[in-house]
Amino acid sequence: MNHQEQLKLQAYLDGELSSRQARRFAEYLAQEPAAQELLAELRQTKSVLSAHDPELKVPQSREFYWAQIERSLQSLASAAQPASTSPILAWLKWLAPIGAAAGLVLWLAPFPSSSGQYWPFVIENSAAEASCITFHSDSEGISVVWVDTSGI
Amino acid sequence: MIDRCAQMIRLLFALGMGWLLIGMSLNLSAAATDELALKVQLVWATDEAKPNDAKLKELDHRLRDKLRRVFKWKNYLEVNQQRCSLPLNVVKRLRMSAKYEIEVKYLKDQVEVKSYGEGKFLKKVLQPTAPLMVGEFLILAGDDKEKYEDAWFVVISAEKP
Repeated sequence: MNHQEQLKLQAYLDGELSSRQARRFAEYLAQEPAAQELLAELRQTKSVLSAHDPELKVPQSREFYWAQIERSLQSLASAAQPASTSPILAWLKWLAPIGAAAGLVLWLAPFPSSSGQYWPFVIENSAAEASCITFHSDSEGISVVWVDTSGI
Repeated sequence: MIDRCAQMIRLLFALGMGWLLIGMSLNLSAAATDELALKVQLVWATDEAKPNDAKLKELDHRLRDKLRRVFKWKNYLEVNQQRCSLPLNVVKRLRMSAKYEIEVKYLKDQVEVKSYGEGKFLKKVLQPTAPLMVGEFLILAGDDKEKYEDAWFVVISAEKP
């Protein structure tokens, strides 16, 4: 193969030939064993080189490096901060124990009448009766007023 | 830990508010009625066995057991029963026996009860309505003059309308 043909072979391998030129060169390769051998050798060399290409990294400047760290710190700080609550909800949290205590007191206390007394009271006696006995049983739910009568 | 405490407190608050509303509604319901249904029973308390008298009836076992726990007598027999519906500030007179009468008057927060023996005024009692509305009893009691060891009770209770 002359120098021109070798260059054409390289171009063929790199896919730089037009489709018509590549077709014609393929026909030529089919008839030239030396060219085929060279093509195979070049292909292998190319595959080895591409597998071991070094990874290229963009060089980082010092400012870019510290800016990255600052950004990650800021994102961590915003994640640790609790979600903002409205003032109303904040007040409700303080009112909760007060409300619970008030509810319990009202639940346990008896419901008094408007007169302020829960049990019966005698407001008038006959002249014949000097005293009366009144008592209330919480457990039995009864109020008793002892009446002295002339008979039933 | 703090979050759990806060949740418990919120739950207690909700329960407390719930009971508060229930209590207010009970109070409101008691105060809001313009009519009160009463049941009045004349009860004879004795240690003797029940005589053969068709007019004497056994008390409801719950009331009977309640009286047994409070008073000394073994037997409690219903002699008479009266039911009435009391509009506000209206007086009703109920004859419980040949010698005994009571007057009842509904004053919304209280029930006024006047007792009369042989036509003579004996006593005036004011009973708060709220306990009656939750099933409590007012009992006017006295010695039986005819039988020394016995007693009589006038049991007043509220009935559901």
